[in-house]
Amino acid sequence: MILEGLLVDLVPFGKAFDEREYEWRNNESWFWATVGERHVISKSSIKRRQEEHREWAEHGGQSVFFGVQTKDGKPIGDFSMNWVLPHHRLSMLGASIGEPDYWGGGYGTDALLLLVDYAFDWLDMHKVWLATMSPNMRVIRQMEKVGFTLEARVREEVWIDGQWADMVLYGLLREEWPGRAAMIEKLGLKAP
Amino acid sequence: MLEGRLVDLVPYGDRYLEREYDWHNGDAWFWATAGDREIVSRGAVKRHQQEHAAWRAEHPRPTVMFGIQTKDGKPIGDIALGLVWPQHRLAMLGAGIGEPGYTGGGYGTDALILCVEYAFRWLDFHKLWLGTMSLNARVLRQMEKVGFHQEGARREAWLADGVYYDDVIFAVLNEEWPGYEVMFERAGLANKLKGK
Repeated sequence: MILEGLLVDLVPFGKAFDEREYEWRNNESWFWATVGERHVISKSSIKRRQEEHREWAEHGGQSVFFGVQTKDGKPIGDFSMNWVLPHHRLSMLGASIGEPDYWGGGYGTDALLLLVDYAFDWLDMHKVWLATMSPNMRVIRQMEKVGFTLEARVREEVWIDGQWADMVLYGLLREEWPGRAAMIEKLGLKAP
Repeated sequence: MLEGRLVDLVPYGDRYLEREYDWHNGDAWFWATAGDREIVSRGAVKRHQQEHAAWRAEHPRPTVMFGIQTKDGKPIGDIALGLVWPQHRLAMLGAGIGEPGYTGGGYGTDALILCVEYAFRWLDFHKLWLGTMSLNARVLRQMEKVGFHQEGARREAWLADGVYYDDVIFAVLNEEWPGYEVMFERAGLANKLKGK
């Protein structure tokens, strides 16, 4: 299945993405996508993790994992719904643009709108949420732009580059979501 | 064994596994989770325990799980440091008093402050946190008594009995923790102990 956006498409996280993971997990994107992790990780270790993840997903692991690609088919990152709780219709979102050249160009935001729309309009989630570390200004600005609500600022939660940092938790309820089309309009997103 | 005044914390062994069937099917599970009402057979409990043990053997985690017992040795619940994140010296507290007659008597609070003391003074954690649904008035009061800070509320996170409730997040930093003895007094447990 493909979710078609303006700047990117969300596609199955297949081989083309597997091959990029070694670069993505070792570069700066992973520091921001996680909470300040700086991996030094081998190709074989990446491969092992990919195999373990597939096995987990095939045995009922509750997650939806997309690759993000540009309109001309270049893999640039991954977006996912993790920790899906069907009973509460609640899901945590995970996101990373692994190619730093594609930061700040609206690619990640376009992918986020696709994912949120998918969660609410297709999967009937009640709520989606995510957490990031307080130094992550790029994501904090993005959350404000797309209408997520800051629900908690948990103090000194993580140790980042030699000091304690807060985590910020953002949530979006389905009733607050104006729909993808309205959000594209509001943000002025345009196809290249 | 961690010795408190109302309860002791002991390894979570067979005597506790035997009680899980009742505890998981009882009201305690509703409060300890986020409104889950399990209807679970003895066979399913046993299977789950076996699978969990096998999984844990293959995937070692730094989780710490205690059984809570009264001073005369009766198992009444469990308390754990879960989601342990060594790099950030952070853990989530999880707890349940499974035996219906032992809520409100200070047992759970004594277990909690023992576990916090252990995490801060022995394991040198930087922070402990927990989340509970906003419906859970008993835990909200307890959090106030033991000086945890409410850091936020994730709106409408948990569906319990057909209504969405917030997930209220509480936390305490190591530097804020006055120690077991001070907290035993402050939380009013001395009076609970006198009344027994």
